[in-house]
Amino acid sequence: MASIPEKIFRMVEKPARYTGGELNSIVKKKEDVKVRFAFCFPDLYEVGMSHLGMKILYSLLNKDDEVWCERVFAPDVDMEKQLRENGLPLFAIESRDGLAEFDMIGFTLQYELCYTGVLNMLDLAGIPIRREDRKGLKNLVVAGGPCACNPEPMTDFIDLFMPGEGEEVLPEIVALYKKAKDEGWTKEQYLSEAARIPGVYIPSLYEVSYHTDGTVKGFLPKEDAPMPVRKRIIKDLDKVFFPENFVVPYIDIVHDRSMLEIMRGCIRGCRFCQAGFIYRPVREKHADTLCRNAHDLCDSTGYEELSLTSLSTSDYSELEPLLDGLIPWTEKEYVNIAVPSLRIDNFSESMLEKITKVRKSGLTFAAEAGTQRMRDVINKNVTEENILGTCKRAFEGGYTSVKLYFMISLPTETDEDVLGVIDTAQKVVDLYYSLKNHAKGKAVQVTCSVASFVPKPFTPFEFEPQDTMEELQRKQQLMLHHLHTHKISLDWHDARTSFIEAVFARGDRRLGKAVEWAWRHGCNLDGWDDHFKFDVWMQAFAETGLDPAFYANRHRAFDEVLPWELMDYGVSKEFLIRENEKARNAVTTPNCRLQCAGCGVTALKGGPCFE
Amino acid sequence: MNDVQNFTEIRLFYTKTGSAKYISHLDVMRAFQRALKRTKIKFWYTEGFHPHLYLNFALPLSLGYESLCESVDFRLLEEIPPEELAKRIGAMLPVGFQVLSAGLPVMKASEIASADYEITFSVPGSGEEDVLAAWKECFGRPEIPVLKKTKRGEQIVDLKPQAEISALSCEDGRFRFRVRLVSGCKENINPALLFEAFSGFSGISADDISVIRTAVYHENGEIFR
Repeated sequence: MASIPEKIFRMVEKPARYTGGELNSIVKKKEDVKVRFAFCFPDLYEVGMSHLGMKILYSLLNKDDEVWCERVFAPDVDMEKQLRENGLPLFAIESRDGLAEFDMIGFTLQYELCYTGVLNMLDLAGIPIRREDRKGLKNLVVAGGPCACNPEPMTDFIDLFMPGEGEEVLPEIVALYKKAKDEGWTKEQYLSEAARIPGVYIPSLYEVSYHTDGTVKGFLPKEDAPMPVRKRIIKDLDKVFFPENFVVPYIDIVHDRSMLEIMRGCIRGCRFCQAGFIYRPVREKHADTLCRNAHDLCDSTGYEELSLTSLSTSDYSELEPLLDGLIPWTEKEYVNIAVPSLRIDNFSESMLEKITKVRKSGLTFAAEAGTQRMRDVINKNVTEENILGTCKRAFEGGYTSVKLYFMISLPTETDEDVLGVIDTAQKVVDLYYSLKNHAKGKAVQVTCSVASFVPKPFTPFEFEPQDTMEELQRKQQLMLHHLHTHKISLDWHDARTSFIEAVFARGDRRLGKAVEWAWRHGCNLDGWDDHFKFDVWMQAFAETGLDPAFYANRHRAFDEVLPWELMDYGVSKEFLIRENEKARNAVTTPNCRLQCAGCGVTALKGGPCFE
Repeated sequence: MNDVQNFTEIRLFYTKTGSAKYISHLDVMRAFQRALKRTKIKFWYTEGFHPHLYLNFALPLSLGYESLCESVDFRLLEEIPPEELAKRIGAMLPVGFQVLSAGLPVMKASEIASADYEITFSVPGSGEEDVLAAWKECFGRPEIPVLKKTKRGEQIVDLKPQAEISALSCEDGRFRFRVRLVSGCKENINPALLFEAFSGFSGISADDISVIRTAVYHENGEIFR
C-alpha cells in the first residue's frame, strides 16, 4: 500500500474512484496467493463498476484461495497526470500495487472504442504494450468480452483471448498458469498449452495471409492450434456461479443497483444486433433461482434497486412468476425493481400493472426503424400498431413521456424510411392528445434516440457497407428539418464515432498499427465525446497506410474470407447469408421459440434450444 | 411501508478515518442508507413518491477530512437496546467507519456552534523558521480578513472572532496546530479558509494538508451529544 502516496488522492476529482475499501471488496495477503490477477476495465470506474460480467468474474476468481483478483480502471485525465508526473504506476484498487506486479492482466473488451484505453493502461503501468515485447510469463495479458468475437485489431497487444462466456474458461487458464508458474514454464510453453483449452485463442499461433486487394486470403494455424476457435458457453445457467454479493461503490456509478441476469441470448434475431447472435443459444434461469439470487444480493449490498437484465426481458418465459416472487418482499423492503429491455409487442396489461407498481421511471421502447418495410428488413417483428398500442396503455396508465429508440442508415434504407422516424414519433404525440384519459394538464414528451447503424461481425449485415459519414450526417439533418414540434426531442450519436467503431468492428490484424499510432498521438478514452479525437484517428490511418473506408464502407461478397472466420460463434455463415438475402427482400424470420431458423448454434448446446 | 408510526429518534456517533476520508458527504449518506438497510432492522422511511431511509447528519464533513466525532440521526421502528444497535450497525459499515455509540439525542443538531480540528501540513521549499514566523504574524493580527465564497456569493469575513488557533509546531517537517472554528448550520468556517488566509498573507502555500475533526460543541459550550 505504501507505494502510492496519499497526497495524490487529494489532487484528483472523485478520489473514491481509486482508493477502494468499498463494501464487499476483497483483500487478501499477497504472500498467501499463487496467482495475482488484475481485472482491467478500459474505461472509468463509473462505467466499469456498472458491468455485471466483471462483478461475476471478480467473485468467481476470488473464490479460489490461491488467486487474488483485483480491479483496475482507466484513470481519468487528472489522475493520469498525477501518475505520470510523479512517476507512479497505474495500480490496482485493492492492494494499490502497480499493475506490473501482477501475474495475469485481464481486459474486458466491451466496445471497439476502448482499444486505445487498453494500451494506455498497460503503458501507465510500465508494461510494454506489444505482446512480442513482453518476454516472460509474468504480465500475461488476456482478454474477453464481446469484442473478442473479432479480436484481430488487438492481436498485436493481447497474448490470449477468450471468445464466449468466461465463467468456465477463465478459471481454467488461471489453473494452467498456476501450474506453469510452479514448473517454471516459458511464456511460449504456457501459450502452446493454453491453446489446447477449448475457447482459447492465441494470436501468436496464427499467420494471416492477404490477397492483393487487401482482403483476407486465409489463416495458418501453427502447432495444431484449433481452427476455427469455438467460443465457450455455459450450458446450464441455473448451475453457473452467481455472486452472493457485489462490491458496492461509494460514488454514484452508471448502474448503481443489484443486477440479475435472467437469461442469456435472445430469441429475436434482429438482423443488426450483434448481441442477438453472439450470445446464442438462448438460455433462461429459473424464476426460483433468480428470486434467491436477488434476495441474497439485496441483503448483502443494501441496494434499493434491483434490475432484471437480459437482451429482451419480456421474452423471458417466467417473467410474471418472477415478478410475483419478487414484488412481495421488495415492496416490504423498499427495493425498486427496474425492468429494462422490454419489447413493445408483448407488454401485457397485467405486466404493465406489475411494473408500474415497482417502477416510477420513464418507459423506453426500441422501435428501431420508422417504417414497416424497414422493420421487416431488420427483422424487428414489431408493427406500428404494437408501438401505438403500447404507448396507449402507458399513457392511460399515467405516463406522459416515452423514449423511442431508432437506428438510421440501415441496409436498403430510403429517405422515406428516415423520415418515418419522425412520423412515428408524431403519431405517438397525436395518440396522446386523442386519448380522453391522458394525464390532465400535462404535455407529452417523446424522445427519439437515433443511433447510426454499425455493421458487426456474426450478424446477417456483416457483409454490408456502412453509410459514409456524409450520408449519415445528411440523414440526421433530414430528420431535423422534418421536425416541427417541441414535444418530440431528437438526439443522435456523432457519425464520426460510429465510423471509427465500424472500422474496428470488422477490422483485421493490420489495424493494430493504427490503434498504436492513434494512442501514441493522444487518443484515449475514445468512447467519451470530450476525449474523442477524430482527426488523430484519420491521421493514424493515413500514417499506417490503411484505408478506413475499406473496413467501414465496403460491401463484402458472400465468399470473401472475413477476419473473424477464425472464430466459431455457433451461428453458421450459411445462415447469415440466408438471413441477409431475406433482409434484401424484406422477409422476416419468426423468433426462435416459434420456429427454429437453423442458425447452427444447437451444435454448441448439443441439442435443440427449445423442447 | 412504515407499519409503525411510533418511532424512536436515535443518534449514532461514529468515526470516519483512513481511506473513508475520500468519501464525499453525499456518498456517505448513501453508504449509511445501505448499511442500515443491511442490518434488517426496521427504520423509518420518508413518505414521498420515492421513499428513502431517513437520515440526518449533524454537521457535514468536507471531502478529504477525517473525523473522530461524526453523528447521524435516524428513526427506529423496533425496540433494540442501544449497545446492540451500535453493534449491529457497526458490523455493516464499510472500512474506515467505526461506531462509537448509539442512543437518544440530547441536543438539537441545529444548536451546534463550534468544532475542533487537528491539522497537519507540510511546506515544500520553505524553511521551518520562516513558516513558523509567518504563521505567528498572520494569525496574531487583530483582524484576519479572508474572502469566503458561498452559494450566495463572495464576502470578506474576519476569522479572528471565529477561530481559536493554537500555536504552530513543527516535527519532522510536518507542521501541526489545533483550531476551534465556528461551525453549524447558521455560520460555518471550513479549515481550508485558514490556509487561504495564510497564503494570501504570506505567499506560502501549504501542501499535503491533513485535517481531523476531533470534537463538536453545542452553543452552551458542552460537547455535542
